Amino acid sequence: MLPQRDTCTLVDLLDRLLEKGLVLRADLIITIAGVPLIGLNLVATLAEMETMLKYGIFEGLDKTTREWALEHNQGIPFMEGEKALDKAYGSYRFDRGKKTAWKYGYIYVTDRRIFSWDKGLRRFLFEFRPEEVKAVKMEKRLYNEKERDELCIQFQDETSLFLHVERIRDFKKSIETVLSSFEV
Amino acid sequence: MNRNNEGRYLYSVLNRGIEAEFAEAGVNGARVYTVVYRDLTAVVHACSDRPETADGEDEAMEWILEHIRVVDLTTEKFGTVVPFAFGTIIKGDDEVVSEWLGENYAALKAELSRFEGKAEYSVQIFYEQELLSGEILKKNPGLQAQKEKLTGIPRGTAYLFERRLEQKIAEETEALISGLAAEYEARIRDCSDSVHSEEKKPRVPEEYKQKKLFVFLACLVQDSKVQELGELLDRINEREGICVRFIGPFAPYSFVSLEGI
Repeated sequence: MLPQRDTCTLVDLLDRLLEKGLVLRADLIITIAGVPLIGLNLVATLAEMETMLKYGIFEGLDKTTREWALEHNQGIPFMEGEKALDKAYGSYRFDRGKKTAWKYGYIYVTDRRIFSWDKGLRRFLFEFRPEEVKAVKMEKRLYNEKERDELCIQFQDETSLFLHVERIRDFKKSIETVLSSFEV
Repeated sequence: MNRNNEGRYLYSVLNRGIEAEFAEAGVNGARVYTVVYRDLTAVVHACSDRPETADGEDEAMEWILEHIRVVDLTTEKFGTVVPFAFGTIIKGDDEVVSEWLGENYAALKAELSRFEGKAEYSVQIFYEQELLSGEILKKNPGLQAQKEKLTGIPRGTAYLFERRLEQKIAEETEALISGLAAEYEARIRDCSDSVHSEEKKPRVPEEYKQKKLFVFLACLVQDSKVQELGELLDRINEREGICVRFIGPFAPYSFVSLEGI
């Protein structure tokens, strides 16, 4: 067997070139935390996250990311002065002409809007303002061959949102409270 | 260029004093030349002390290939070198490089003589789980009998037995593999000057991705022993369920160590 050196062995060389070889004393060499600037682009693409962290490239970035996440994960993105009236974990489904699947999340009712927020992904699952709502009513519907109460929120544009939560009657009251404060 | 913001990009150090300028261009088309201190030579190009950043991945790749080419070229022409990691720049001009060679003269000389007539190779040995499992079943009549019993019993019970059998085969494979790994490594060491176990998983071509790596070594091998190592790897490669990648020669990237430099 003869040793191979061709294009498909290039990657074997990369590990050597980027992580091995003679490295100079720190005060003589210009690099960012051990990785020369010149190679940054490539290293960033090829190296695993671990290696990057070992070199410290991402430490700054990572710290900022974590701080951001901490700050934003802690709370829900309430607007300044916005007051939460109710919160429930439940499922929701939109009806916009075609049926969509039930999804789960925390649903918040505030004095300004109703929304669901995904903490993990830090994004709104849905969000609407009282002005957009035409009517709220309780409906008996079938779910897994059993009848249950679902809260149907009809919007001005004729689409609907169905909610199912544990204390569905209380939740309906909370929503109605917000809606009524806007009707005045 | 002001001396204060000059730099020298480093490729390698040669074990002789050779004033030269290379016809072949270096990284990013740079002019490659040598800086000599007594019988040591650094291969460099002049640059600023603020390293450039490649414009995208393709260009970075291009630069890396250029670095490799210069290191390979110097090895070809002048024998084994001490290679530098890609993107190593020393602050200062030729004089600073020469001073650096002088300061580390003994260490560099020792390292270069250790590498004389040798090169680095990568040896990766893989196994194929299914082939080895089949072999284990064949050799072990007890397990074979268990497997045959599986047909004709209720599905639920069969499932449990199957899981147990799988686990048994996995254990046997594990034992077989660790035995082979120790044996192969010892035989490879016999052909090599020095061997490092690599910790990081290598990037391998597509055809190897389904296989499992169980021996991964960087070997410093004397030129006269390369054929012997190749023949040994051939024998290993012939074994059913085992396959070998033998790559090189490289400049001794994995073996350079100059404590304190």
